Amino acid sequence: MGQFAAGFKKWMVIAAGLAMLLVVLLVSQFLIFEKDEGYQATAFAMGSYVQQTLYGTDAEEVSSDAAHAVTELEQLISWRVDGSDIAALNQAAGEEAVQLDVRTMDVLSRALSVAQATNGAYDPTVLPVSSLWNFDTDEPMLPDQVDLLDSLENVGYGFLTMNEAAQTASLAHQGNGVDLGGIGKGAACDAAVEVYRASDVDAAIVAVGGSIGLYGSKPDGSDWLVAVRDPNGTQNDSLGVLALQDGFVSTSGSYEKTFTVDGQTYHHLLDPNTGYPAQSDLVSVTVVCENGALSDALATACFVLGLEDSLPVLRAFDAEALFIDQENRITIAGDLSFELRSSSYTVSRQEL
Amino acid sequence: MKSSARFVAFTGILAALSLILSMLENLLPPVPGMPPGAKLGLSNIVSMYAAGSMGLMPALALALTKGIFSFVTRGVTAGLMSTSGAVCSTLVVWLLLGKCRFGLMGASAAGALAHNGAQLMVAYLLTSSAVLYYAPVLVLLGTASGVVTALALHAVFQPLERLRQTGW
Amino acid sequence: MSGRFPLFRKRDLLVFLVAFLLAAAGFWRWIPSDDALIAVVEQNGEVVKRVDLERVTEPETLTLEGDVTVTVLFEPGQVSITNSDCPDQVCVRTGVLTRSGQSAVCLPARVAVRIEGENASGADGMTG
Repeated sequence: MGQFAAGFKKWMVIAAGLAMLLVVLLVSQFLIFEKDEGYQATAFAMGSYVQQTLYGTDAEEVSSDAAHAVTELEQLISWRVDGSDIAALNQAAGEEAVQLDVRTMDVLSRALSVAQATNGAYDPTVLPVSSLWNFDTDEPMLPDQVDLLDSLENVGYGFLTMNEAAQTASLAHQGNGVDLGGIGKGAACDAAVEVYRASDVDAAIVAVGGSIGLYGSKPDGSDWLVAVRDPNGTQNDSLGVLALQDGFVSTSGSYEKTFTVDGQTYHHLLDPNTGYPAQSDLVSVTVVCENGALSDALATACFVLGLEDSLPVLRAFDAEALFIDQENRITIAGDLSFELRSSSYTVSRQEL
Repeated sequence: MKSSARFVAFTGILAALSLILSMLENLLPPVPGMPPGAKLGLSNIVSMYAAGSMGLMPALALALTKGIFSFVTRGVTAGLMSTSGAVCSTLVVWLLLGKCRFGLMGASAAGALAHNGAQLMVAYLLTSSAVLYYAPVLVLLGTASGVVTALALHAVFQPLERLRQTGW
Repeated sequence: MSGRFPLFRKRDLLVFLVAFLLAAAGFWRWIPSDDALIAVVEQNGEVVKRVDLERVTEPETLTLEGDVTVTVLFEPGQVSITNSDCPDQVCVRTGVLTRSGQSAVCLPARVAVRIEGENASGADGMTG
């Protein structure tokens, strides 16, 4: 086009050259960029090993805030901590309603909702029985049968009354007591993920014991891969992998805490209706849902209920689950994406 | 070029051709396993022809037309990505083909790389870092699609030239 | 006419070379650096010791004093908790750690031994 002045053309050449250089530089910049391995942090809280991996901005600071939030929650909901909300509630059993922190109210109301939906297969008021077994300490023991039956009288979610408006809760009789052990790790994941949400991190995974919270999506955009522990192996053996987007995962397995007396092995998943370890044909239940506390309580409840009776409960809470029974059969309830990696198990699916 | 009216008309035909090609390409089913943003870039045939044979200004006009069309039909994000990609690749192709006397293959591959690079940048700025993971794959796919486009242009070059010069 | 724009010129190779280099640089990033096997020992959430297991030639032990005393054994390419005063012995029964992502935890002692990197199964976390 002859009408363009030669000077203008020269400028265009320089501009184009600069644009090209810019593009090449920027692209190469990203190619040489280190792959984001994430920032890892570990701590002990909630009676568990807490592991976090965070991707994105301020990872170090956010991880320490999240760990702090978990510790704070523990100070509120652990019945063993003097002055905690739950300790105060148990102290005032049969006397008066106790003012609770909003976080305690949240966990307690979710615990109560699962107890109601499962007819007490999970029950937050299990303390009179659970404190006899002492599974949350290093030295669990077999309780005296008479003591156990006496204490069973004091277990029942009907004894627990909550007043959402006044933010209070009360226990009906002296001797009632709340133990949030079956929901605490999941609730801790909720607390951590809440911190992530309020921060600038792009994605994070938190594991509190066997409960896991997933937030955001990984830098490469792929699903989170959560390994499911092999009940017949050690801490490091998994039988397969779940591929998940964000959400929460909890597992209740009878292999977690056990002790043996006179050749009989007792595990820590107590049936609140009998006071003894639950006698289902399951060895482990993994529950996936949108709330950590719910996933934890549901995993316990489903273990106690067994596969058949768990299905309506899972449906009610919009949750999915993976059941492993004593015959090494895996049943997946729902559409969970699961890849089996062990040859010792078989997988089948169950519609929800 | 004898009359400016014919020049404008021809540019319009090229613009229409370019839009049709990119629409046709969108109709193709996505290939499974391909990262997002990996496309054949058929409409680059037209942009390359314009950049090489007609000059920078008409070529840029084509790129902008394509970008505006994307804005209107597919929204702001797609529009920004399309515009930046088209403008960058047009500049590169014009420079290599017209100024530095590269072959069609080289210019086309470089143009495709510039296209992908610019789109990747915009995608990164607008969304998340997830897209960057695919960068090396996009480099290879971009080079390959550049070669394909060059072959296609080589085949249609003479008919296009005849159309431009004789009007038929 | 197409003589004006030949399909291929030698200088085009320059473009392909640059593309190849860019792609190679990008793929380089994908290769996981799994050569290092770093064992990390933590007590109360603090890192007490880091050991490159590939560089261990002689077995070496580390004793962590506390309410519960734990002994960690480093060997060429592997690490394990060999002794703990804790009642449940879960950490000792976990056995030998050899791959990145594995861990042995003694909750009573608040001691954890893990090998840095992704989980052995390629997973981001483990439930159960």
